[in-house]
Amino acid sequence: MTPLISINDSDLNAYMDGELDACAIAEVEAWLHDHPEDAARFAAVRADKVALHDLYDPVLEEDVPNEIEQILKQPRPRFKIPTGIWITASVVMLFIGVTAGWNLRGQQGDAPAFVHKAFAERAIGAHVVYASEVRHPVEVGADQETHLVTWLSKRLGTAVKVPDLGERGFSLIGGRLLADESKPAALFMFEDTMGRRVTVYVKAQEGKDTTFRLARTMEANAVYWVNAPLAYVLTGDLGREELLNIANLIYQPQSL
Amino acid sequence: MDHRKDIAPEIPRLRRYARALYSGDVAAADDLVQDAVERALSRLHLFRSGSSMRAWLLTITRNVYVNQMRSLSRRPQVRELDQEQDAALSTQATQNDGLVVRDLSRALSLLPEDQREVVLLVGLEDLSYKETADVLGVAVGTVMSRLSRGRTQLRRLMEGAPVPRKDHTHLRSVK
Repeated sequence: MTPLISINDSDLNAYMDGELDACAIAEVEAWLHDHPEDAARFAAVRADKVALHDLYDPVLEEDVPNEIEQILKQPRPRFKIPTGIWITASVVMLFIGVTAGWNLRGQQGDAPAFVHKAFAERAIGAHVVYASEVRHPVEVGADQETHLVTWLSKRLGTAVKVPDLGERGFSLIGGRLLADESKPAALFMFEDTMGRRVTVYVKAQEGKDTTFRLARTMEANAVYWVNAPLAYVLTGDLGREELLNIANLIYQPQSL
Repeated sequence: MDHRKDIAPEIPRLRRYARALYSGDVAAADDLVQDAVERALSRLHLFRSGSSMRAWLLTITRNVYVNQMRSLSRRPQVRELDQEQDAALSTQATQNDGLVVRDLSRALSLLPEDQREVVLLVGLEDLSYKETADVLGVAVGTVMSRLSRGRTQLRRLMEGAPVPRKDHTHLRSVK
């Protein structure tokens, strides 16, 4: 049997995906029978589809992480709350220890808040505590930058560099040593001419590099990522775009 | 009517979809699912009774993902660099399961977003073309042409074709 019109890739896909009626199925099968090259190509594409399932179907058997299950267990709002506020509210719950007592400013948008990263949470806490400090925001000032870098590199056990944020108008104020879950962490603070401050919180971190992730509290936005051997949290009371632009300055690409 | 209870059974599939979107990055994928579920709960009153909860949740997950990618469009391409190295080690392997799987993950990550999401929604999530069109807010014909181009490109990459520069500009959020 020879179909009147030739069978194209879309027909083959529709056949593979169960989108054809019986008549069309017969036409495609006849075509494949008569066209071994198309049949071989079809078999390869179908094998890709099977391989896709082999690759990701194991996820279906995994336990659902606690963080996700908890969301579904939270009591539902009794009256309709505008979209965004409810998301913000759950974020507020998680950050209550950090954010209690501060003025609530309108924060809405489609930005995801990756709230379950305790590391970012601690860094935001440190930012909030120290960036608002007028007299002693840092332990070692920018005038002793070399000493600062040597000292913090030694304490973190890995080479730490002070990022150059001049391109975005921020200059170094200085840095300090902090405890991050009983491990040393470094906090670098920067300021622009308008007096806005951003901090870069760094700790030693082995493992796989990650993409940039966003966290947000009412007080500040943060971007965090792992670029082994260090993990970074960039925090500031800035918009996401501006913060991501700064993060891009800090990020050290792997050798290409 | 409370549709809240209908969300939980779909979580494993959302996680699978998210895992594929993020090329196997567990943390990023689960962050995405978490955000998507939060958004779904906040919009549950918009869910139409009788329609597919699965498709609705996939739509939300996809839109949250698009927004994440848009805001992070200048993010470091770390995963892809890793995968380049992996690929360099396994270019000639096509029969060994582990290496084939690794290649597929890499090849998928290199597809243009508009093609990749169709390949995943149809090929992994087994949505019909109509459902996929609804999730993406495009015509069925568009789904078919993207699927065709995506699968062809995937095959080329699996056969060792040169890697094109990935383009995020096709991303569009529909809701």
